[in-house]
Amino acid sequence: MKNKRKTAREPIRLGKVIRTLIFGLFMLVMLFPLLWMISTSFKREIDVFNFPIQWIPPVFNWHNYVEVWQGNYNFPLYYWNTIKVTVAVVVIQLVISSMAAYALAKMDFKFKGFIFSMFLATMMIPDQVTIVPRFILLQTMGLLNSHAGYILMLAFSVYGVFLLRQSVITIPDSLIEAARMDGATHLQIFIQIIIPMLKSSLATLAILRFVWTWNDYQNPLIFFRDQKLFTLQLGMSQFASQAGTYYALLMAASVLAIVPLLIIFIIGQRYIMDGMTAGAVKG
Amino acid sequence: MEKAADPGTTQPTAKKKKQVVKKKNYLTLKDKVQLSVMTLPALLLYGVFLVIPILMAIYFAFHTWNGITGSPLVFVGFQNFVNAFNNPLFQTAMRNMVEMVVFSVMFHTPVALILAVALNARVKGKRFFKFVYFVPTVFPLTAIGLLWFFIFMPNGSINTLLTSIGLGSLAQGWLIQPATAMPTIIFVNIWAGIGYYMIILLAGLKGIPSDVYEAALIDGANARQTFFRITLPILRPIILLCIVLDIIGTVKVFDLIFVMTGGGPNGLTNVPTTLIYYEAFRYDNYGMASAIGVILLIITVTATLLTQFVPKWIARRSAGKA
Repeated sequence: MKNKRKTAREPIRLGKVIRTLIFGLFMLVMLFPLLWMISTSFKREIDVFNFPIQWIPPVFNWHNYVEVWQGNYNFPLYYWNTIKVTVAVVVIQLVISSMAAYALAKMDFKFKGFIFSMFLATMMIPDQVTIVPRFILLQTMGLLNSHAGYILMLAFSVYGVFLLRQSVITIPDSLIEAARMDGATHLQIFIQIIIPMLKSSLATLAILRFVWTWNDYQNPLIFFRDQKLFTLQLGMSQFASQAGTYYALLMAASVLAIVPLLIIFIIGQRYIMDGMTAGAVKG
Repeated sequence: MEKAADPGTTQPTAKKKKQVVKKKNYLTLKDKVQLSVMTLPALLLYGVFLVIPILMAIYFAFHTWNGITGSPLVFVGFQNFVNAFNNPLFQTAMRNMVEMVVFSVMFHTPVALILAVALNARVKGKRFFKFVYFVPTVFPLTAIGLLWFFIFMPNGSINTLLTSIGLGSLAQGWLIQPATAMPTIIFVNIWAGIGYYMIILLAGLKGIPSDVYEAALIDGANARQTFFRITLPILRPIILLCIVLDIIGTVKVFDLIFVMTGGGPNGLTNVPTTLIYYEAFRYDNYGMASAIGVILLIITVTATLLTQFVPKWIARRSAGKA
């Protein structure tokens, strides 16, 4: 396919030039801020606003990272909190979503169609619509200001069920029926046959959920009062108001918050793209 | 749980149909137990953290309440909505939201489409480009917000750049001046989102069979004709989808604004989502916050319904033409 497109586009030289220019321009707009962030994070405060912008810091100042990590900003704690809630949310959500996805795709029961259409209808509703009631509910349950409450609240997502159901549905019924003939129960089928076949969708969900929970700002902002519970995003915005004028420090903190995502992204780019398009195509 | 029992009364027809169509895998008692084990956690959490909150939000929207347990909820009818629409802060927030949606739609999909088409053709370093455009979509908006906050600071890079190229008169506190604060936020929102739409459109482009292009080539179509006569019409449903996703996604934006301006200066960059936060968690005005939430709900449900119906409508129309 690529080759054919190549010949189709070859004759237009001007188009190619324009295309390259547009690309280059967008490239700069996309890339500059990120490069600026990284280079600033290694600068001394006095070099931050030198002009023209020095992309390579005149003096490499690793101390910013040391300061952010070991200073009085609780960064290791925020890191640990974020890892804790993120991993918990991802794992619980994988279990709950895959079970529900199997039931919705391969078992027959009352209200199945209704449940699924309810799921679809509520999938796009913004978080903010339900945030006040969720606050009141968690307060009533005594789970406000706790990691447990937060994890419970994010343990289920319509998106997760939806994404996994799409792949469960492609598994042929005959496979399940054969196992049923041999006397396997639905739970056995689910664990021994379905889960191994879902590996790539599970990876997609795990990675996307990791990214989204890691980046979650609004829920921690509202549900965590105790600074000991803060996640990285919340800690960082607080750090920003504390260390307001220390740009280099703040950029070092931002880089620290982004690095795990960058690693995840490099490992799982394909899965992230799959997941985002799968969610979109069905809306 | 209440919710699981609820639906039965409303939709008996759909259920009957299903049972007639496939009754081959009947459920024994053991199966039923397993079925409950597998679905209950999901249904329970769905009910508690999504369905009940939505109903509560609608209920609260018609009451006033200061959020203190024990204090009474007073039914006020549509008063919260009337108050909201009469409140200049809410009017500004809605105007900002509409502005943000309009500009996001104007830029996100068209730019993403250009990038996607170009990336789908022959470009050197394609994987690198894809990476660079897409990577901001997985970064936390708090970090992105902070980053741009510093770039647009009064003594930030943009102003330094402007001064150095002799346009010092344009240098200003981008996020502080009422005239530029909202446009700056809109710009950052566009910047952060392009990669997402590009990936969706790229997936759509990959789905177009190559023989369509071969046929066009044989017929002597040039690149422009190929784009406008083939690529664009085939992609139309996906483009529409992007637009609807963009509307919903932009209506939801919170982190970016909260981190960059906190809704300031003087509430001029508030949007409904940040207003909900302030009304509920700063001013204890739960009724008003819920009313704004319900307005958001109506907007997003309408947009979601559009995703369901617009593609069908277009399919019917183009089928009618042919």
